[in-house]
Amino acid sequence: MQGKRFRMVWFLLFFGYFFLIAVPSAYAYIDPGTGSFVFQVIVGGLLAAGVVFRSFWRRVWFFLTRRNSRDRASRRSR
Amino acid sequence: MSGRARRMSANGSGGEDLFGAGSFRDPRGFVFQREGRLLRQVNAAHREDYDHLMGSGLYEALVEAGLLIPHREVDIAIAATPEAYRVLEPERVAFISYPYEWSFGMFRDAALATLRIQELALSFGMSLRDASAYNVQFQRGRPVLIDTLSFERLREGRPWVAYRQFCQHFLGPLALMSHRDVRLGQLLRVHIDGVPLDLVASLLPGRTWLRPGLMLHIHLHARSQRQHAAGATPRGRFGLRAFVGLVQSLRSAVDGLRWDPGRSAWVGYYQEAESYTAAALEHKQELVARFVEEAAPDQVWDLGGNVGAFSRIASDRGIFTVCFDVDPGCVEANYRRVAEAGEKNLLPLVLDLTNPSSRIGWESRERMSLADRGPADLVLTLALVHHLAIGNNVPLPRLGAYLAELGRALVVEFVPKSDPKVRDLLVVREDIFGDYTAEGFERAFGARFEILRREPVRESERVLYLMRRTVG
Repeated sequence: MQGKRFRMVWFLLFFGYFFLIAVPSAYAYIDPGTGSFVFQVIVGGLLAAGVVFRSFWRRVWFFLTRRNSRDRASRRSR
Repeated sequence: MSGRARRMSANGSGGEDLFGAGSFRDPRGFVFQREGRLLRQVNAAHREDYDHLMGSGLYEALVEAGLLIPHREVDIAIAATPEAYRVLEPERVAFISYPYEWSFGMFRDAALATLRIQELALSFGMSLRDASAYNVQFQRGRPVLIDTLSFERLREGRPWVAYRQFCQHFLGPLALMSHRDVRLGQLLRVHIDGVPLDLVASLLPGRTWLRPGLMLHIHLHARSQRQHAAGATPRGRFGLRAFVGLVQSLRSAVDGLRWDPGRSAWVGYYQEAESYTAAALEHKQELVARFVEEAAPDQVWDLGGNVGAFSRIASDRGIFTVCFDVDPGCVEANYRRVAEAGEKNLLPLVLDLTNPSSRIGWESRERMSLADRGPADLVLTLALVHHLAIGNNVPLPRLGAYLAELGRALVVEFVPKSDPKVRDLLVVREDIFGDYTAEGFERAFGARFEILRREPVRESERVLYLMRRTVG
């Protein structure tokens, strides 16, 4: 559930980023290796943001699930 | 007739020495053979990276996790050239296999192992500079990296130099196998440096644009390759977080790929036992076991081995066995059983014996043919001869000659024309196979082999032979 929500948010962010901040084309001798390097630099910011966001999301999820399970446990004990 | 004494090594070639022929591209070191030992030279150019690998704890961590082939350093006097900094003797891989011979699950596990290695390397300040599928081999049932020189110290701020290679060697072919057709793994036989991403993108169904990992690493990546030329110098930093994010994203993309063999035509072949009564099947198993023990091989190749029922007669006795089958579903089912049970002596591989793996790559020597990786001590060809001789019109003398190239000894089952399975094959074929008789079979194979045992299988008209090669 957590993974699905995360992927959905990530997917929307990515589409927005890639298509709004488009990189101009170059026309010369084509080397796919260069394209892969440039591509990594373009998406690098998002990938890094993804790592930070994923870590933040885990903490939030952990906090919420821990609180819920504590509430349930205390209700059961009453 | 023990093969032990005659066997050169676990993967000793009977012909031209091609081991190491695929490592010529790397200026930092190469593989060579000396006195029957397989060695890897580390050149002085790779000194600092090699020392970091060994000194940082990464080597121990990888070997402990079963992800890297262990090695020992040997006397440098044995080096092949003066540029040597170290000479390593890695543990020998029992059988060299190639990605176009792996089932989907094997391929996927090899991809995940590569990413796990990269994650571990990052945590030790190193990175893989190659992500070639050919650097992964299956040893004791698990994928393991065999190229100790693949590691370089992390150059922070630089993108992953092996990203494109990973996508072309692993993610692209796996995506095609999962989302289009599992047989597309065979594209790697044509594209030795991985399937070009524009080709992968064009073959994948449109719905894969909705899979974030495939959209990013295949579709948009391929588009970026088209858009950016050599003149476009990559600017901007690619920090460690981005690096970690890239590997996590690739892992998530590979993790999401699935392929279920379902009910292939061959997976239930022996379970359904249409071809045998229970007594016949049991007797055949007894005969194979007896012949295997008599041959006492170190390595067995089971050709047309289905899901490995007869391969396990050898592998359960501690004999390293390669089980080949043409059906990717059978090989996948076999691999899943190997992985689940932790079987160490069985390697399932996809092979079409009518078009076996040939030499490919630079000078046609980079990747070995099937025969280059033999001969095996013992070849099993059970319920196979009729498929090749009648189903594929291979004359019996030529079949015997090829099998004599592949193995020093042979356990072979002859299925006569009166058998229901052969009658099925002849339903839509004109019977032009006048020589396909027990006498014709023995005459053809007798030109290459000495017949040591001839045993009819109980409650059937089939005959099982044990033969020893007399020529070659």
